[in-house]
This record gives sequence, C-alpha cells and structure tokens, in this order.
Amino acid sequence: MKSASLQKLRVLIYPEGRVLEVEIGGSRVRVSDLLQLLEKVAGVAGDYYAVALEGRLLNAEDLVEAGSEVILIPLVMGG
Amino acid sequence: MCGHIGRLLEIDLSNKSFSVHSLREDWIKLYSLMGYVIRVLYEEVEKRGKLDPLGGENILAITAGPLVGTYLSGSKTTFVTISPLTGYLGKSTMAGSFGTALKRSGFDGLILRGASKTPIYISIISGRVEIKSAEHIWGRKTSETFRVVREEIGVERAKIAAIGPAGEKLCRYACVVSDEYRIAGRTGVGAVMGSKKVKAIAVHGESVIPVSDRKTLVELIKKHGEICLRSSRARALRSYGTSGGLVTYVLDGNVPIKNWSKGVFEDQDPSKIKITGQYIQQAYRSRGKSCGTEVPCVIQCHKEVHLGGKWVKHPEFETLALLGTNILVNDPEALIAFNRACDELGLDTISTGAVIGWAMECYERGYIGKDDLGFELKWGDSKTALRLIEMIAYREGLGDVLAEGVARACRKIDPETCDFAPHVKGLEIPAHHPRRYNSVGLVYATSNIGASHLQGMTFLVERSVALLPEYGVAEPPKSLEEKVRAVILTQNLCNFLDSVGMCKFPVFGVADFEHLAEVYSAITGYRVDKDEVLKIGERIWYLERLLNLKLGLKVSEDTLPARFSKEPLSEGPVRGALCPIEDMVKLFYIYRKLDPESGYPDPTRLRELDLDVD
Repeated sequence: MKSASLQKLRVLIYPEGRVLEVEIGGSRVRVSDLLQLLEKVAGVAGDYYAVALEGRLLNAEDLVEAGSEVILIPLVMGG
Repeated sequence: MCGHIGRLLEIDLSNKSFSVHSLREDWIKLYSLMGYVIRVLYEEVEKRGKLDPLGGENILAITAGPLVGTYLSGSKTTFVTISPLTGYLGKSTMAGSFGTALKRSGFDGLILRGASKTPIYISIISGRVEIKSAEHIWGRKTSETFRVVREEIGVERAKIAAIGPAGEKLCRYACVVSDEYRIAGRTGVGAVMGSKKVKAIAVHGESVIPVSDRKTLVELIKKHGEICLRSSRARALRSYGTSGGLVTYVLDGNVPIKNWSKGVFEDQDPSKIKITGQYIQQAYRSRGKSCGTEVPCVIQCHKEVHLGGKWVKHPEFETLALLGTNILVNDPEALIAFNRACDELGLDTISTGAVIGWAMECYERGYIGKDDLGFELKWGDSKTALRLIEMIAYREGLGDVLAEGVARACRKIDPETCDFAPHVKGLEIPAHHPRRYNSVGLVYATSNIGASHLQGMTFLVERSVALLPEYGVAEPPKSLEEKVRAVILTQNLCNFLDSVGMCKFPVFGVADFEHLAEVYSAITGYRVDKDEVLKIGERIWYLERLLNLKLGLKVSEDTLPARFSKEPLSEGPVRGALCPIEDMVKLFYIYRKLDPESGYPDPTRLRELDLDVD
C-alpha cells in the first residue's frame, strides 16, 4: 500500500515554472481526471494544457503513478 | 456577385498587355475562387499539354477569395501555378493584408501569363494597372525592394508582394514575401514569379466589396470573436503564436530531429530547449499582433521579438522545427537570423531546412565532402547553416545543386542519398511526423501539391485538439480506416478554406464548419450548409487530382519516403513506430474511388460532384 505522501503528484507548469503538489486520492490517476482535478483545486484551465512525463506527452487515457513529477505544457497549434 | 469584386485581371507579360475578365458565377458557385483559377489552369493544360513550370507558358494566379476583406481572419491570398519542384499543381497561401488590398484595388485576382524579357514590377492602384521597369531593384533583398517600390509608387498604404534573389535565380523553392513578412512559402511560387521576371506587385485601392447580408454577417463576426476569446486553443495561439507549439511537439515526438533519424532533442527536457516560443518570449521583449494591418483577427498569432534595437519577426513553428530540431540547432538568435535571411532572400524555410538537414546527413555519411563545399558541414553548426542559406539563394557552389530541391539534388549527388531525401513528389516534407501521426503521412502522400501539412490538418484531429463532431468525428481516429476517412475529410475542408481565403487557425479546434457555412452564405448570398461546404472542397480536390493526372502523375508517387515506413527510431516518444503508408494508400484509393492502376477517379463520383471535366 502506498503511503499518503506518495499519493501526491508534483506538477510543474511550463513555462512559468510554478510548482503544485496535488493530492490524487489514490495510487494513480488518469490524465483527463488529473486535468479536471487541477482545474478544481488550483484553477488551472485543464483544456489549455497537455501533460508530459519523462520527456513524453501523455494521452488523455494514460495513467500517472503517484509520486511522479509531470509537466503541464500549453497545447499550442503549431501550423 | 457578393463577396467578390467580380473581376479578374489577366496580364500577358510577353507583350505587356492586360485584359479584365468578369468572373463566371457558375464556376464561383462550384469551386469558390482558388478552385476557380485551378479550373483555369486545368483548361490551360488541357489545351496546351504539359507545361514547363519555369517557362513562359506557365501561369501564376493570385486570388483573394470571398472571405478576404469581408470577414474576421479571412486573410489568405492564394498563389496557384504549376510547381517547379513537383511539375504538378503548385499552390501556397499567404496571410496578411495583401489580398484585401488586391480586392480593394478592383480585382479578385490576378493571372500572370507569359514572361517579360526584362525585370518589371506591377502596380495596381485603384484599378489603374502599370508595368514598370525593375532593372534597378533586380538583385535586391525583399526589404529594400519594398522600400524602393513604395517610394516610387508614392502610396504609403500600398501592400507589396515581392521575390528575393532566390526567386530571381530560380531556386525551385523560392517563395513570395509580403511587406508584412507574411509568406507564400511552398511549391516554388517565387521561382515562377522570377521566371516571369516579376520582381514585385504593389496593390492599393478603395473599392467596396459587396456583402449579401451585412446584418447577419456582423452578428456572426461578433459570435466568432467571442468563440475565439473563450477558446483555449485560440488563447494558446494568442499567447505564443505557432512557435509555442514546438515544445509540445518535441515532447509528442511530432518534429523532425536530425533529418528524421533521431527521436530525442535536448534530452526531451523543456528547460533545455531554447528555441521554443515560450523561451524566446521570456528571454526577449516580445509582442503579438494580427498578421496584417487590414486583418481584424482576435487571435493575433503573429509574434515579434525585440533584438538589436528593433522589432523582428519571430520564427513560426515550422521554421523552428525544420531549421532547429531538424539540424540540431538550439540557439534562438540563430533561428531568428535564419528566418530573417530566408525572408530577405525569398526562400521557403520548410524546404530550406529540409534540404540543409539532408545535406548535413550527406556530409556525415561521406556523400558530400569538405572539398565540395569549401567548409565543414556539421550538425548543429548554425554559422555554416546560415552560409548555406546564402549559397542556395544565390546558387553559389554546391548551393546551385541544393537550390534544385532534395528530389533533384539527391540524383545529382548520389542516387543512394535519395533513400534519405525527405520529399513527396518533389516537395520537401514539413515538420509533422508520419511515424507519430500516421494520418499525417497519408496527408503528405496524397496531397495534390506534394508533402504539405496544410492540405489536411489531421495531426490536430489525431491529437484531439481539433475534432469535427459536425462531420461525425467526435473522438480521435484510432483505426486505419478512421484515420484515412479523417484525412479525406480534412483535405476537403482545407481546400474549402483556401478557396474562400479563410485562415485555418480560427477554425480548426476553435469554431465549427456550420458557422463557416453561415458566414459564407451571409457574404455571398449562396445558401450553403456544412455539407455543401464539404462538397465544394471535395470537388476542388478531384479537380486538382485530374489536373495532376493530365500532367503525368503516377500512382506510385502517392507514397512516403521509406524512412517513415521501414526505419523505426530507437528512442524517444515514437520509438519503434512506423507509418503503414501502403495500407493507408490502398484504403484511400477505395474511399476516394480512385482506380488503383491509373489513379483516375470513378466518373460516377465526378458526376455526383457536378464536376464536368474528365
């Protein structure tokens, strides 16, 4: 069983560099749920960002383990 | 004919004569304006047979569709010709105010025929057409050309489009540059303009563009403005411009790295990537604005940075990728310098970056040596890349071979190098990655102008950034069948947008095509719905296909370089992935009803689309 501290995620917002610690209420969280959670607890506009982990952008259905550090990247259309 | 001035100006440069033609309303209804001039080109090819793209027999048409000058973000001027890179249809769109000024000068479009013996520029001021000598500006860079032409015509507010030295030297991927530094970049339209010895075109006027239902249009503009202000996609573009997409796409595996042979850039660490829009706009003073003074766009994706005491254009995403990640340059000032050099010399940054990336791989693998160049050509060396840009534009040394584009250059250097030459039908591949988004590979393989990301923006659909629920695409496509159908859908929609002169950014992922249909109806008075919009775009796609078949297109050319379907990357977000292009093309032929042997469309489909050509 994961400890309470591991049921958190560290979220870095790019490019500002702001860091948030988010309680995810379990051992892992779906990316789409994480974005909704961030909107609720930190006022971060979820649909403005994509979530990256370990150098890779995640898909909405991907799962993130508690204790990870993710980066929120503005989802910009590059033409 | 609402939304239009109703007149096309045709100039025969061989004898410096011109004539004015009324638009045929039946063709306008079938194709809108870009499609209209493609039909003109089709008739020309039918009459004369295959044309030399750089000979006087080619035509260069410049159009400003019904949404230009009448609608928010309707800013796209379209250039249509036979491409000197592909030998097939060439077209490219340019943002900014040029199209609006062209319409206000009294014409919806301009068709250039023949070729002048000596350099000239064209001035169209309030309906008055003048052809003037350009001997004194031939050889000059674009900024100097704009200054001299503006001074000579004496109209401060005139909008000018010009070629640089690359267009004069017939570099096959030369572009046309506007005085607002918006670019008709692709397919070598600048080389065609250079082959006709046309250095610049200046336009200005006060003509009023008629609109069918102004009251409804005003309501629709207001509604679209509100949608743009609320939209996260529009807000992200407004914040960073397209350059903000680079970091997203690096982490998504959706950029070229080392000529498409590598999957990781700067350890995939956003804090190490210095060429993102976000980094540049934090490191330097920056500002955003509309792409043109006459374009009332709320997105304002055009960005500028303050460098060396003046405001300079911020490179767009495609430039940052092709001349950045693709050649392993991670220096923002180098990217700004590359961008500036290409704009001044009149080179397409996409093709230029692709050519340089291929040349660097040739050097690394021993196909090009120091003796061929006079210097070393190593990955990430921005000084030599800048030098190569100049050599290409002026066709100096090896630059003369590179100015031909990768498809021709690889055959001259060593046919073995064609295995890693990134192009489709001769047009260099832009930044979106077929291994990451398979549908993008199909867009490149089956676009009628060669590898263009703007002829079907499925990277947005696959990423779930721009779904199209109004056409039944409410989820990102997963199966090959769904991806192929998404390609066909977006190819048709992109053709509609290009034909009416509408920018894609305020539409994909922001507004929907039901709204666009209402806008088109309010402006033109033709009552269309989203299905008719799709039909117009589809009709254009088939017309383009038929044109290319007349020009000799072969089924075997609807493909991708083997690197994307046979060489997986060993690292990064797309590690191990390939693009199953053969399977996708097969499905595409079935869904588009194309004959697998000849590539010709089923005549029944053409009749259903009221396309009266064969």
